[in-house]
Amino acid sequence: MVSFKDQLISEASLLAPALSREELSEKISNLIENQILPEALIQMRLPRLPSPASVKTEELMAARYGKRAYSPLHDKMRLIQDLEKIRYKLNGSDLTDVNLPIGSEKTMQTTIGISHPEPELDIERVGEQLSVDMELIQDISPAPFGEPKEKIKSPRLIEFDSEVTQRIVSSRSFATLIGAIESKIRSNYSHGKISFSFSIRADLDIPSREKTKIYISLPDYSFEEKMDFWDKIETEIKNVIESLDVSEDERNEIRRNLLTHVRAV
Amino acid sequence: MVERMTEMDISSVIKQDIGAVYSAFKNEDFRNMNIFSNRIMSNALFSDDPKFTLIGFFLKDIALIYDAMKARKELATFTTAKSFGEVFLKSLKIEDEIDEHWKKYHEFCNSVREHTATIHEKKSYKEAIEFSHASFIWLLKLLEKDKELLLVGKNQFARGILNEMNRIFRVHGGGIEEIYAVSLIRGLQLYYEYMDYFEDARTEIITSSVFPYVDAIAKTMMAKEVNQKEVTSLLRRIIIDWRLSYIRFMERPRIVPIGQKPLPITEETRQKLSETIAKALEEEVK
Repeated sequence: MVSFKDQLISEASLLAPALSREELSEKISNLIENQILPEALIQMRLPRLPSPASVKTEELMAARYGKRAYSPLHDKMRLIQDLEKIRYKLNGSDLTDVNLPIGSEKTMQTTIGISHPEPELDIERVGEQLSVDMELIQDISPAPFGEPKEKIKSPRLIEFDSEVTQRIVSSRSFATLIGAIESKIRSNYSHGKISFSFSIRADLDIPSREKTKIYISLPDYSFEEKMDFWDKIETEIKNVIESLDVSEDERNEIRRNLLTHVRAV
Repeated sequence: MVERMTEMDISSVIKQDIGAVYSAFKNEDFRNMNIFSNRIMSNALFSDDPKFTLIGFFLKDIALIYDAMKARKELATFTTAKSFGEVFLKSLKIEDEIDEHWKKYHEFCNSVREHTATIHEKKSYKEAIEFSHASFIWLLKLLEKDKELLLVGKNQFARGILNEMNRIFRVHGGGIEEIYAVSLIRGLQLYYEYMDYFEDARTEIITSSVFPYVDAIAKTMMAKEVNQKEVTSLLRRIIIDWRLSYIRFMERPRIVPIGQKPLPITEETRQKLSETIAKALEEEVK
């Protein structure tokens, strides 16, 4: 059976017979490095990042056992993040078609025409070719004139309801508070077995007063574990409030209006 | 016989594009959000209304901001920052006047910038709009004065100007005029990157097609009172040239050195190679 390497070399020599062995080798290296690898990086599916908590645990365990150099989760996290960064740089900034592989266009090396300040378009001709991705459009409501029909499969680590979102935009101090809490949550928890849902609700006693509620979902944990988590999270949020650069009155106001709640299921 | 497209038809198609943008945004698929935003600008070629082009351009920038944020190691306030994009998208009305679109985009940029700063930057830097204004004018003058540098192969002059503007705006904020300036330079950079395709005609095309834009940007932005209509019209012309370049040359290669002839292998082999490498990399990060 012919190996893939042999097949590639034989195909390349057949299609470019004038090339010497060295030139061919250089061309293959360039092809892989400059065209195939970027394409592969964009196509590949990257897993989720390991949780910061598990990376930290690994680091602490390694220190305890004197294995500082061995930290697979940390290395994995770095690799995923580096690959994400490369993918970002290869983003396909100009594309209008999701199915078009980057760098594979046949016309790429062709030089044609000179640009004009204003295009001269034959609208009738263009009309024939204008195609709309109907499958995609049927799949979603035409938001922002409506929400997408497709539901997000699993809950994210943090989600805000529309009122929280709106208030973040309209109040700088609220954005700072929520940003600080989000930052704390992200540094201590990862997506998977826990999720935080932020909502704004009217106070039961004084309906004109609104409170920000953080609902914590821990579906896989026992009642006792949930209570332990609740205590821990409450303390963390209290610390965040303490660290804010606000007056004492404002701090008290925040304390009064921010509640956490662990969901029973 | 095909019926002529009306503004109504185009508007309806662009609303669908915006729907796709919103769906991608909600699902944090910023790569597709960028692609759908490009579609808006390409579909806007069939219309005389500059606001369609403007909407696509703003949405593309928003996609790139969140994509960069997501790729960063520190995702600390990503959901909070995403709220600004969510509200921008929800409040986006195709019927709004151009002035309203610029205003909302400016508000968005000024709000989200705080969430793109590092902890150290947040602690140290304060808003300094006058500094931003003066430095943007300085950079525009520099671009105009040294525009011949754009003829030099592999130069990064336009990208460098854009990088400084982005950095200054992100750290110190800016007024609507800084938003105009950075948008014009961003558009110019997108168009300018296609110049390498012209190979032997590169100098001639840059001189006849890019230099007039550099001069027009400087003139428009250094006027005593910057005229929003002029900015919009100039930006639209640059974007049209960029989108036409995409139709002519398609996506710019990211890393392939200029002038390097590709190896003529078949599409199947190329695909197989790409899949093999992708699989090996997936295995590595499993």
